Amino acid sequence: MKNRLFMLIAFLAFSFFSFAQQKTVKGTVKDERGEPIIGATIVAKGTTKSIISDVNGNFSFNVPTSATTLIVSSIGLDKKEVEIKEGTLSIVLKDNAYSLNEVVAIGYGTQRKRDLTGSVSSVSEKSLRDIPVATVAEALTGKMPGVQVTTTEGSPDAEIKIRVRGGGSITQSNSPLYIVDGFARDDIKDLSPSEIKTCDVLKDASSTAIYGSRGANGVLIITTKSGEPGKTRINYAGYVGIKNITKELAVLSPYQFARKQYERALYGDNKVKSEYETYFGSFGDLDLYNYMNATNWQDETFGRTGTTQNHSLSVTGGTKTFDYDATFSRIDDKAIMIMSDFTRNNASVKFNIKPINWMKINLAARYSNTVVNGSGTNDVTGTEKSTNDSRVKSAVVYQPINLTNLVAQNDDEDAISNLYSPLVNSQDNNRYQNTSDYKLNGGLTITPFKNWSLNSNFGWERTTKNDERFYGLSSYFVKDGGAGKRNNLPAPAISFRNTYTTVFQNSNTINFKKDNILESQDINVIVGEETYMKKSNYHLDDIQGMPQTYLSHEAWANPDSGTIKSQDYTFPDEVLFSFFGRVNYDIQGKYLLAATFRADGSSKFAKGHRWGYFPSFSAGWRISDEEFMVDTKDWLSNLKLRASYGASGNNNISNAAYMRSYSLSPTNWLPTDFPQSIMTVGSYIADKLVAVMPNPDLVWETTITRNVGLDWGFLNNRISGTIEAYKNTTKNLLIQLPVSGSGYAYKWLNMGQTSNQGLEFNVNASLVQSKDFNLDFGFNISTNHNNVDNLGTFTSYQFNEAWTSQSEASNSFVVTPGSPVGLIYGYKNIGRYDASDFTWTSGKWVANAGVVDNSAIDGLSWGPGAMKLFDKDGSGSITEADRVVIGNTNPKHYGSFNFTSNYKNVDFSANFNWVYGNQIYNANKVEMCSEYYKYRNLLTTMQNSYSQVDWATGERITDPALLEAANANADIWAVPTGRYATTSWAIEDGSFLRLNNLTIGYTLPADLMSNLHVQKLRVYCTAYNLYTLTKYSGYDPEVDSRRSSPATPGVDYSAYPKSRSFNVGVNLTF
Amino acid sequence: MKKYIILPLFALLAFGTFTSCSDILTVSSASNYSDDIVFGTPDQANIGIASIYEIFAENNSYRNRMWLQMGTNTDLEYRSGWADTKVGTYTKVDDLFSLYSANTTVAEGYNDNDANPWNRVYGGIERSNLAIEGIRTFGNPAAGNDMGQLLGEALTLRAFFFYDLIKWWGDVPARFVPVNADNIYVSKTNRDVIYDHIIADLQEASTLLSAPGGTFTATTQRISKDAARGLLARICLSAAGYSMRPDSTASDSIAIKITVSDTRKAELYTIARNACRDIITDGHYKLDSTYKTIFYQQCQNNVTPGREVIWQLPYKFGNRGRMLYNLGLPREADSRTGSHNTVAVGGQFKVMPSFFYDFDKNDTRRDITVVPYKVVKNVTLNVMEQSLASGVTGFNLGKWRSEWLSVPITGTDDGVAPIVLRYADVLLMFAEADLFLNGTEGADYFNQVRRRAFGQPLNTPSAYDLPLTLNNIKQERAFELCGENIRKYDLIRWGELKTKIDSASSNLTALRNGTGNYATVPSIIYYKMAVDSTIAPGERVLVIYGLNRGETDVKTTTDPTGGWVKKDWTKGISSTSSDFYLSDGFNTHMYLQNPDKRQLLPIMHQIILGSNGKLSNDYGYGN
Repeated sequence: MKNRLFMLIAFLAFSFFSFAQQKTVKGTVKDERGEPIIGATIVAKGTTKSIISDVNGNFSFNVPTSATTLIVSSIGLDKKEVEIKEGTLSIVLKDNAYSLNEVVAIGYGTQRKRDLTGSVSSVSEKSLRDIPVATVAEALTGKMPGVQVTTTEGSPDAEIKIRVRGGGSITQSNSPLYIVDGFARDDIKDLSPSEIKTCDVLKDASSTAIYGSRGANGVLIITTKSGEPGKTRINYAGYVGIKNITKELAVLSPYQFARKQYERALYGDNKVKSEYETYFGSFGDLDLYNYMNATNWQDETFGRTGTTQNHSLSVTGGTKTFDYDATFSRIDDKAIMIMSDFTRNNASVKFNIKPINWMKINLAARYSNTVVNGSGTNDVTGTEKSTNDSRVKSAVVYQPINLTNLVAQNDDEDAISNLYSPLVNSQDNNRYQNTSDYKLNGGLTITPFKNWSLNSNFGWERTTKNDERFYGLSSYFVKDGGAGKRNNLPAPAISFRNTYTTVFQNSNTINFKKDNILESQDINVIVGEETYMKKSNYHLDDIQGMPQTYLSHEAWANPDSGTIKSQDYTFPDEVLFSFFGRVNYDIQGKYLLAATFRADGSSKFAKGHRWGYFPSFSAGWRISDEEFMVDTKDWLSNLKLRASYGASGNNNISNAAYMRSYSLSPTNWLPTDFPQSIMTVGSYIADKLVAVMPNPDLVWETTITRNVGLDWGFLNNRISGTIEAYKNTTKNLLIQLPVSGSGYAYKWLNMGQTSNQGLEFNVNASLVQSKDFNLDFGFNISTNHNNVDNLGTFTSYQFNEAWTSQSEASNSFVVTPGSPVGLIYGYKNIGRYDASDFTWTSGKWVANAGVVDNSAIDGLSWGPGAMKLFDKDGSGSITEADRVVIGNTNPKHYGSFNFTSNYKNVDFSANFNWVYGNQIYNANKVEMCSEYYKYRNLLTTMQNSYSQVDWATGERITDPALLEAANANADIWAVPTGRYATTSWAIEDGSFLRLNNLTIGYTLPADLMSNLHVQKLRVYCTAYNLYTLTKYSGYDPEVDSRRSSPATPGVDYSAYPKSRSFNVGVNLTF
Repeated sequence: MKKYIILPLFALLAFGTFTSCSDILTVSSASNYSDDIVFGTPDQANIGIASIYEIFAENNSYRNRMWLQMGTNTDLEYRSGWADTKVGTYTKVDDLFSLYSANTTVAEGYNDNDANPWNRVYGGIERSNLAIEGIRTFGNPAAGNDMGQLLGEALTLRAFFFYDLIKWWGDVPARFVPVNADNIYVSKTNRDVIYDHIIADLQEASTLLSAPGGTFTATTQRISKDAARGLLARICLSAAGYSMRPDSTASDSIAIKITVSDTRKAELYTIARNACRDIITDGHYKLDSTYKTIFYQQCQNNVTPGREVIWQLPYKFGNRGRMLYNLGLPREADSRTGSHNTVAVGGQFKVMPSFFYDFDKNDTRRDITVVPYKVVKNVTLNVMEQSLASGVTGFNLGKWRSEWLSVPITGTDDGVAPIVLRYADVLLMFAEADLFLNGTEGADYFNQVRRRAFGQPLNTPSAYDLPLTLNNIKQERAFELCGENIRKYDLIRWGELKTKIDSASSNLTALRNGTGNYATVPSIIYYKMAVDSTIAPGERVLVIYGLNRGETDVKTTTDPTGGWVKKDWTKGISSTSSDFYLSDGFNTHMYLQNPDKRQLLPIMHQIILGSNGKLSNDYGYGN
């Protein structure tokens, strides 16, 4: 032991202090445009000596006389080996953006892009480097074909939905598998974008099958930055910015608001006296409302100017045998909504050590902490008790004027129970979330013989989530009597939910790689074994009956002032045990073959169903390397055809869903001489036991993918791109099937089949390449067509977007074989009823014979001008049978394009992304254009609604002719006061084209900086979400607010409004 | 070379994980309760049983919709405000279908998600099935031990759930073991089969359960031996009576029928009589001294075993359950400190006006059950006051009053525990079974109920005694049990739902016209206000003259006692649309559909959709 340590020290010492006979090599490093490269690393091959080029790209390097070759490298450029010659070397490094030698991560290894046979999209460090974003997912938006990134709403901690080639599952998550530095993770929320070096997305089974049962939704592989041999560098990147809401919804003025309330009271059996006058005064004084100032509740709620500060500092450096990277970054984000902010700290250190030439060790430690303050505007994770508490509606339609009586007197059920000021609403649903994550990784690679290497990686991770919620007096939970009382009065409640997760991972691989195993034939074989083990438990304190005056912080600070009920649950471990292997075979660099295989054993399934096998095959043909293509060499630089076929799986269900479990949970409902807890039976979903019937016969769902791709490049790859076509078929869908009437809400089932097929195309082009001016253009477009092939024995079933409990606006998503997931069913609007459809009889409008009855939805406004719906079945009234497909939330295509350019030291980039042809269910609009509840304001959409009121007298017009004349200018039906309904009017085109970001930067002249020991200093400003071209009438068309089931996409209900931000930043390297 | 040392280590590492791989995938958790733990000890099993009871408190379950609404709309009780929602029709006593606004095609809010009533009841059945299976397997249940009691509770609750399913939906899927792949999708089972099963279960449970006052039966909110016996009697009477059957369609002239044979019918009556006799003989219960005591103590949450109440649904007092919110005497919100209710309560159901006059004026049950006023806030005086209805149609149900509560209502849930079974019902059921079986003991028990109602000594024949006839029993059950979710199912089993509702209709006309049974009902009443601060400080109460037959004196403001206000009562014309004059429209619009063809609810669309083709609607409903 002592011996070995001594050897190691000696070895290290030797590498640092080695010297020998020396000679001096001079040279200049430039890029293809002839610009000097500053800070390029020059290493003498076979030694540990290195030097860095100066501001003019020059270097003068003392190397041992034995050295014959230099290795020159710089970030973003191809590494080059140069023979040492007499005189000054002129070294040109090629930009590696389009380089086929670029290496991509393919799972348990890397591969040169030119050798790929599967479908892999990548985002290089270069395109991540210059544009600061808060989250990794944002950085990926629009960067890769076939990868749709949706920012579901505007909150600083908004969930970012990543879908690789659509999604196969109907009820289960379609999120890809995340692999960071070789280790699987549930999400990448806690990563700082500044840590990322590259991101690769594996899209077809030939690349994902190596991840077996978890690969069906694609695999996102992130490689973080490591140190590089060379001089120590200190990088600082930071920016500050401001942001504001992009759009507010226009609401009625106080005068119009009062008019609508009058109208409603008049229709309601002439309840003007009891409903209107008490709060608004007499009809004659209506004009006074013209002079009242409206409170803009959206301004009060979302109107503040948010600020962002982001700082990232890293120190990197190393020698040939030892390199390191230490990074710290922090983001502080004050969001546009009151009480809403976000802070994240990341710290990491990474070492790569090569103590002996046949051994490599890497070690990394990573810490992150995220704090999210504020309630947000909704909660789809299920800890919120009701959509009643959703915050956007109160910010939009809360009374614009102070109606003294309405607030003071608690007599009117509508007024007291259904809407609160958004300020109260936000306070009473306050939330604090603090997540800490610790990770330790270590890896060992040895190369015992030539061509052989053995690798072993260990990872350990601990995540702690604290989720503190507050339920104030206005919250549904308290109001509805769900929370315990204090002094027999409703009282605030809080909950502390702490979740602890520990993950241990280990993978061991053996790699055999031999070039020219047969003549011009290379082989690369990897076999391995992997273990994944996850332990988690949570502790929940429900504390109710707090003092009535408490607000969130007092309540959180004094939990013992209420009645505490605790729950603690340890989940069954989640274990995955796997074997895998891959063979790549390369014949003359032209014919590429690959096969992978993985066997996964998972604890998620019952004995006998645990093992799954996932094979895949792929082949590539580099046509451009064929002899018969020699004539095209001067313009066609690359042409490769590849095809793949394979299977991967999805085991996205909770652990031990196959076995019946009971869990204790406290109850407030049983008399005190009963046990105060109950035993719930079912199985676990996420961290709560729900009434899901266990099913011991479950197996994973399997996706078969077929992929054909063509990679091409022209003019020395100045223009290059890929076109791909795929068809994925997912069988044995894991479905959480509603099983009404069984005593369980759902049952786990393998049932049915879906398919996704699509085309992807991308192109990158260097439009201008010159010394001073460069202009690059990138473009990608993807289509995906989803289809439900069959649903087993079922013909269809419904999914409830559940923004309201009203049936006409529920279960709008129906999954039917032959149609895609995401179709919206509802009623078709066909204008409005005329005065001639009704007769005024005994003080009521009575529909004439043959007029379709829609009185339930129109409510009090049933009569002339009422909203008219299509009576599909001709039954004479509007019923569920009249629902038809009124929308499709799947886009026809989506994509992005970007320009990057520089003129001398000024750089510029613009990124656009679009989604086309999808529809959105604007549920906000349904709620905000209805007077189902009294005393709510309306969107200006209803400004010129059909009205039966004679505004001169305040009386109801009952003469059809006069009525039609009075409404000659009405552009929309009478405000419905019946029930909410999903109608075609609420379905809007969600297409948009967004200027996602625009950046202008300036790099200070290198010679100026070198005097200050600064290698690089760039200042820039960036605008995000600068402009969106859309016809959508809501806040933002990129929205997905009812996410508890993937089968209800594209609903806009109470989504946190998006903001536009402007940042100024600096990148600094010493 | 060191690398040759490391290599075997590598192999060893890999080998180590390989060998353990068969075990590594079998996981468990310290927190994961399995059946043997849950049902292995009385303490744990008690929680399992509490979970069954918890179903009663779930939303859209017994807490609001089911127990508190499903049993009304008869010849006695009707849903108020129902008329408002249907243009031009005044129906008071419509079928369950419309009362419940369940519709097979339009999925109604509370019917179309997994929190629908059907699912709630089956949730209770599943929890019962798990408990029954678990306790039988792991608990060594026997008569007299704790596990026996707990098993008996599970059996009884399951029977109760199935009985309610049959009451509301007719034939339903029977499931007597926990849900598994074989029984998740099953078609309807003939209810006679279910009846036989649950009758046997209740007989077994009666032997297992403890008498009141045992470890788990110190409260009337848990099932005791006598609760199981009482339910057994009730279920036997239903099983022996009329019902709609899947093969009786809406167009059948005879929609209701009796399917059990005469022999079986006699058996069922015998089981019922024996069950009631056992209760009476064991003597754990007795009639409360006054009729008011029952409901007053119920509102006070002061019910203990040994008195009249045998079983109540369990709710935490003041916290869960909407007894008064649904069935209470209407009382407006009173925001003053120390008020009885800071939210408005009650008034969802009214009482048929003629029923008030069917009572003997000396029957103490009348003024508890039927009340001619609601309680409103007098804003000027800042007190609460009784507000006389605009006319005879404004009679409210008065058995549950927020002024009787021991703690005020501050939300929609008051937690007053609904009474499912009480001793008077047992006496009447005994009398009915005894009459059928030509026994001799029934008359006295029958008259004990009457004697209590008229304030007479229980065991001494009184002037109010009546001979024991089926008609007298039917009428007595109306007087005794009005508003208690029993009348409707009595009428159904007697095959009289339609005929009784029809006679209520003609009673209303007779009442208006002052003819027949109602010839002596005064058409005018007089009232004035008094103060009764025992209810609440300054509470103004009504003094009424003219509600009793024969009270035909003319009172004026200048009478010796003075201050009388005159009111047209049975012939009054109301100015507002919510209180109706006894017009022909009011009197004859009792229902939209023949009640004998609309005794059951349709199965909700959602349930049918999810049944994998096994369920469809019968009884004249479309799917």
